[in-house]
Amino acid sequence: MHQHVGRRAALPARGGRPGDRDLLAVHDLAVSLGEQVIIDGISLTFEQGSLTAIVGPNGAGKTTFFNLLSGQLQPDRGVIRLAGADITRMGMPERALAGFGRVFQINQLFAALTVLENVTLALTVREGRLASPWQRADQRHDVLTRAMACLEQVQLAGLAARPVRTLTHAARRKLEMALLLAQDPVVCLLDEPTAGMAVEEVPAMLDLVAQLHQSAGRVILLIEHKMDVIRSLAQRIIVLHQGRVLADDTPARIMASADVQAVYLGEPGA
Amino acid sequence: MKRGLRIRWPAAHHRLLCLILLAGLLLMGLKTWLVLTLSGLAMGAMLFLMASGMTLAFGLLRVLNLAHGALISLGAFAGAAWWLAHAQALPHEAWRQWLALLPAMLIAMAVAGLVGALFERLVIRPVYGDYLKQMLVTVGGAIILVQLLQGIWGASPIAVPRPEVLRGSLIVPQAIPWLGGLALEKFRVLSAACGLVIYALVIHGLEHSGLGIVIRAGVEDREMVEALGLRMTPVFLAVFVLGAMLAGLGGMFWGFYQEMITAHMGDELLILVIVVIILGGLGSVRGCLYGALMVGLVNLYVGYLLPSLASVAVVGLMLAVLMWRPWGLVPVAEARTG
Repeated sequence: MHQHVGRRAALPARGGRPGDRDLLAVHDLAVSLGEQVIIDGISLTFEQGSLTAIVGPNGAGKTTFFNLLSGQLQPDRGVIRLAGADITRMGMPERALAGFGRVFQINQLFAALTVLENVTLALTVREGRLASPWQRADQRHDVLTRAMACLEQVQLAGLAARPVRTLTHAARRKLEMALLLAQDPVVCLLDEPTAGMAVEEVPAMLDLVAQLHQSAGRVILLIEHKMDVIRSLAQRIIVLHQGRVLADDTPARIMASADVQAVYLGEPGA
Repeated sequence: MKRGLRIRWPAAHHRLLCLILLAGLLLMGLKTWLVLTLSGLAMGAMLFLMASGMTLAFGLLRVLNLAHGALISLGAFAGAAWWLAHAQALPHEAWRQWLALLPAMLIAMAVAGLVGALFERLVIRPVYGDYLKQMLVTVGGAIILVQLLQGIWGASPIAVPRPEVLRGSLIVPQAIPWLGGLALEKFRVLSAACGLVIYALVIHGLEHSGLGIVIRAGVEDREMVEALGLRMTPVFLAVFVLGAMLAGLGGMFWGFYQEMITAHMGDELLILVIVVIILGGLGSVRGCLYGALMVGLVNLYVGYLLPSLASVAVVGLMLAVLMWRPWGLVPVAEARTG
């Protein structure tokens, strides 16, 4: 993916203050659905190269927060900045092109397409290649090579020609990571990437998240319930509660915090 | 999944089509069966042209375009208008007549496509995502289009004589056993062939072009494609226009088939078209072809065997299929379109 490094390195210069390492910043973000306030004034910043876990009881607003970041939902008030540029009013496709990538809590793949076609689609959309839609998709050599590279990274190359609907759940989750790699986002929103996976499959997925983190300069946000997963990956934990930031600290201090204990113990089963 | 010796049943739509063909063969003589089958295939091919655009529009845009019938009429009128203006002046050499059909087809497609583009932009785009409004607005649009056609060409039916080269039949030579003397109507051979060629082109495009992958992905989950970073608005327009062009072409063929066009012909066909796309599975192009062929065959077989039941048979077929497969013959979730 060397051709994308230039794009990513260039990003902070675009309207950002020099020397500013905060890639993603939200200020006073709020949204209500109907009568209910879901997100109630969140202000946060995320550094380049950081991996942050977002936790909180059910209904705390974690997924809604992701929807606001990805552009699926427009906030009632507040500002979202990517590398200093205001992207609050951008729609979902524009934000994806600006560098947001997402793995959903529930599997989001094209089941009727083959594994390879899924990745090819992500690559071609990413590069705006659809300007010439009549070009035969299966003959574009370089796109294919890079699609296969993404699949190899998640160890799915052997299943490239299989329709996605025939894959196991774990393989689908891996394919989602391959799509994310193909999109090469600067901000990765991972909504419970290990949800529904068998225990023995989890380490491979964590490895992929770690790889995504190592390849420099991204902001990774991770919604997760499993504390061992969080401990092994995140340097920072944000606890959401009733649409507000309850705590924002290192894993060790969060685990020790009395406030956090109270929130979780007050809600059995969360 | 391990590969082993495993007997694979043909897919549901293949089985049902074979069953219909076989039932026809058992109930009538070979020659009658062949003639009716060709006619059924020709009718099916034309229905496929008319229905494929509507099924794609539904699958991708989630729009039930009840003005699709008006686009069919429009194509028929545009093609016929050009044809009637030039038919008299046509030289008699056969190849020139063949050549003259081409502009008629192109004009039918161009006019239907152009009006389709305007229609998507002005009528349908404001109501994406709201089925009730779509129905009201597209019915309204259909009325306007049909009234415009009547305003220009009048309300009475217009005769559209077929080109000379397409009249009459191909006769199988007497020397061939069993089939000798069999007469196959030229026009039906042409429309069946034309429909199948266009089906092959559409499927090939869907399977192998970049746009095809986007369309298949979008039929399955539109938001997900947008999450990857693609604005779907231009894709919607392209698909809608493509569907309108196919509807126009189908309408032109139907006009020649009936040798008569009226502004309401599309509305009457719309019922058959809707049966076809529901039968095939909403949004599936392959299902649409099989649905159209079955409707064509059943319509003609029953029309020959039990004429009084002909109009009921097609709806009966749809009900039977829906009880057996509620999502149609080739449900979109597992449609591999090719």
